[in-house]
Amino acid sequence: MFDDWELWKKIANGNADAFDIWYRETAPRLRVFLRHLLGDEQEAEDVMQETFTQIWRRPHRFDPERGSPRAYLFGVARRQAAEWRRKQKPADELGVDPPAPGRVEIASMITEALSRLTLEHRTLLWLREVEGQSYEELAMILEVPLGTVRSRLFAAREALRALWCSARRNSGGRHDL
Amino acid sequence: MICDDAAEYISALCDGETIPPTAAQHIATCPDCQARLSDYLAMGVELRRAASLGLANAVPPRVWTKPQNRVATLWQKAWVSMRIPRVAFAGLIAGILVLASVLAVNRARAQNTGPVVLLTTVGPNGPLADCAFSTQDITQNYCVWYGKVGSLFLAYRVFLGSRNGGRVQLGIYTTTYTPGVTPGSPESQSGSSRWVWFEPGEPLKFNVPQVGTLTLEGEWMDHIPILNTLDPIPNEIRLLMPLLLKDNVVVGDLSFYIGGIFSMDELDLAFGFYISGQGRFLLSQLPMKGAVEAHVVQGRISFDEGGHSWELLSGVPVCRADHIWVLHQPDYKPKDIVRNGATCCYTPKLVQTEPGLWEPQEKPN
Repeated sequence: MFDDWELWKKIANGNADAFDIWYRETAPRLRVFLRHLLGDEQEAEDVMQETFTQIWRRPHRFDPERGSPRAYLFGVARRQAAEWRRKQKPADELGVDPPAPGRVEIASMITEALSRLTLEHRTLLWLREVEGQSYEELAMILEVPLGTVRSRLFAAREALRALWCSARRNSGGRHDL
Repeated sequence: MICDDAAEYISALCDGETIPPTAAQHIATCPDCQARLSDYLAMGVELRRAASLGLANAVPPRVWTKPQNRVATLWQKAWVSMRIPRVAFAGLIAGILVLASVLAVNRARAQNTGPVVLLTTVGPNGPLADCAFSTQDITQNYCVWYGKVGSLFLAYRVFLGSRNGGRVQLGIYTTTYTPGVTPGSPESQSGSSRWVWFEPGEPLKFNVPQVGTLTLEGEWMDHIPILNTLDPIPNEIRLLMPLLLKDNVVVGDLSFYIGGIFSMDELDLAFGFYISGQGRFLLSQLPMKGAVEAHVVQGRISFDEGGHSWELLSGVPVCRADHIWVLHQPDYKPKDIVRNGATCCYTPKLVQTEPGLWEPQEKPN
């Protein structure tokens, strides 16, 4: 496990080797996150590369007072993904349309249910449950007040639970994982 | 506590947060809330499991190089792909620079030859007066200064005549008199006037008998600046374009005489003016025999005398004190010329005749 802060000091000074270590360490998780956000492997890859490129070009935009480098990475990626969705398929962001057949590679009930949530709920649940981001980091990433995070997390869980339970009932209680 | 209220706390529990005891108690005993908690936990587990499946693939390697300056890159591309001769392009750039510099010079010149002349008069002992003249507004074409130079009083008035290119014609009137002697108006003195051509930027000197050499310095401006400081010096009485009001009706206008600043800081001299039909008024910071005490607020002097309320309004604060003494002489008959219904300015010497009381002593002119 590497020290995020030590590495970031070197990255801020333009150290390409340090940035490459950070890239190889964090990129796989970021790619999975983006894949569930965007629902497409190639789009996730493109947005991920764009995210790292942007941070490498302007590392001084990160304010250490506001959170960890990892939280900053996911925040930039979320904005990039939202911008990508806005340009590519604005209607899909509402989360009302099911994903196209074959777009979701990991065809489990939980990920299918997740794909039906809004972009914000998807982001929030993933960052909390998978990445373990704290409420403070989530507030920074989503650019919302700290007090809003808890209520939105609850709303996201309720939405996912409704879809997931419904899917389980339809499949006769079978866990298709 | 009902399940709807406890639901958000179940979510908080899953995030490692602590919750209120009532909510915790309810969740422990409520089958629905237990089911919700189980679902939330199971969803988290399933999400992490799904995420783990996607972590197997390595990310593609990349080379991280610092990006080049985008402007420089664009410039290099444009230079390489240029389709006109580079000499012609260089000529085009040079032409644009020449045109831009010509415009900049013209703009600077336009500002330097604005419609206002700022004239500074320097006396033998330092600056005397600053005056701003407009070549476009005839109501702003004269300046009056009245003050002490050495042991004498100098009445100094300048008129702006015509303008010829960068030069202006100035009419200069000066007269000197000994403090305490009743003066006539400056224009009535023969031999004290002159017309000169003055070019701002080129200092001009002329001699005033008994005073010495005065030097005019000037510059062109595009607006009339504020010249006067608002704070009087100790013992100073200052007036600018004063108006006299009697029972709230204007009865005298001294702007013809005091169009600029009148300034006097000699405590043993009174300042006076005459208004047709009203008599003469003498002002002093020393109590004069027969005078009334007037209240001073900034540029307003208020007093009651002869059954009337009087106010003298000035364009600048009059003095540092909050009171001043006013001696009204309603039967005074002026010996000098009355213009615009007024005569100014008297500076009789004050002599102490009783303890704490002074009287003006005037010698004939």
